[in-house]
Amino acid sequence: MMRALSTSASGMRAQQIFVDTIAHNLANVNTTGFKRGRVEFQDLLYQVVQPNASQAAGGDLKPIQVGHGVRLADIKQIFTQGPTQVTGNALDMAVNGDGFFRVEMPDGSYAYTRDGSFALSSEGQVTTSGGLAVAPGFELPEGATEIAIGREGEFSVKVAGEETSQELGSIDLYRFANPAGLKAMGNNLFLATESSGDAQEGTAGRDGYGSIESGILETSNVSVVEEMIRLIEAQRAYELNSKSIQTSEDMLAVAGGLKR
Amino acid sequence: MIKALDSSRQGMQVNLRRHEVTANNLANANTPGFRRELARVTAVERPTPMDPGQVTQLATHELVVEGAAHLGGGALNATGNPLDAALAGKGFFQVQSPEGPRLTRDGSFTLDSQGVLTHSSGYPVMVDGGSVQLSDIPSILPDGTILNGENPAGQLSIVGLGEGTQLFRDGENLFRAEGGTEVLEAGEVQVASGFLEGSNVDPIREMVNMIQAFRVYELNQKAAHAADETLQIAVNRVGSIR
Repeated sequence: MMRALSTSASGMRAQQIFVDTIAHNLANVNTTGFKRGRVEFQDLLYQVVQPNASQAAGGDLKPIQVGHGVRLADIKQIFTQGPTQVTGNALDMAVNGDGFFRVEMPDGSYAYTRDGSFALSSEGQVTTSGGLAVAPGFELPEGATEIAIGREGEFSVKVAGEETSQELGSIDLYRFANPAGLKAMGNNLFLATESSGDAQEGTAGRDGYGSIESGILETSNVSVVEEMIRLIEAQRAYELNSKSIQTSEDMLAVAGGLKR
Repeated sequence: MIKALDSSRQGMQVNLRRHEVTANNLANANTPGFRRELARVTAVERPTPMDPGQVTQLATHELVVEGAAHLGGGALNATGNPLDAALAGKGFFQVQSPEGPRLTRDGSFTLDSQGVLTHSSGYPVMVDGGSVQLSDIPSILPDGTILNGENPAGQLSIVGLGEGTQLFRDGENLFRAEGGTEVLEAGEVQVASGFLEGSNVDPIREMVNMIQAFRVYELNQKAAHAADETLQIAVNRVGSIR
């Protein structure tokens, strides 16, 4: 009946998704390795409502196009570095710079994470807090103590009774051409997609890959102040669109009042 | 008499259209690179055939709403995504749609499955007149150069509008230019990587427009009522004997 009603409704829907995303970011403000999401919108189709305007005006007026509102284009993860927190636990690792840890999913596929709060499983494997093994993984020998992780991911342990520590291998890092294209799948894990490109393997601390800092965790990169500003933006835009719906309704009432 | 009713009808229709434009601007208050639309009402004289003996001349005015994109800049928002780009000055990014090049101020770029730099609409971003395929970690320099790892992969095609060029909207944050566009040189543009340009919708202006459109709409309805009342007298009272 009235184009403006559905236009404003699309505006309210879009701002609702904006608020949903902000709420998700704020809920994860203390989640280790969390990366904030950001919504992006696009305008909808335009319809030519008065093609012959130029004729009527006798001048060079162009056809009049009226838009139909807005829609969600994308929600992107933003992979900026989050602040770090010292924990003192050797198995807690933070990537200082670019790169992800790789973990093996139960079905054998790989997922990627910035959350380095690792632990040891009962079989002596290094796993995430969710129990997924870090890949490529290594098994700790019987009676291993004094785990140490170097900046390039060298993983060494001291076995009880031995003088020197032995290096078991190293934890590699993975980068993507377009990390914003990664798919978030919950549990602080991301999956590679066609848009993110294939994972590129590298050694921590070399060729642009971040270094691994042991005893430190990367916290969420959500900035409360920024989210609050976005929340104000979203809420006010929501309100403006509701005012527009109100006005459309009032106009319909006026039109209805034409006939007495 | 009937002319008055017709004028009121036109007045209401035109102001409804103005309201629709405002509604679309407000719906896109947070759309990156969106340019608000101005609804300008112009009266166009359309002479009516006159009675030879008539002294006063009456022209029917046709109201026309003229839509034009207002091209003033929006605020730049930091996103931290290296593939987001904003134009700090004039110009438009170009994307390659199947129907030809389209212009946009929305620089939320991503890579598709082949590593081609694409716009959020899904069309490839034009680089050196074509598209660019990236395999390494990409970055965008302030002069619009795209780096594939360390190696330059091309220059973003950024264009300005020629004299008299008109912009039409295609949706998906894209414009179609009718008339000439001119490629801007590297020194004339400033690309901010990690930023997105917001919309240039001004809520105060839109609210004032909305109130105006609504009140004028209402006034035209009142005018139609007045015309109706006069007609009623003409129909029911003139010539009745009391």
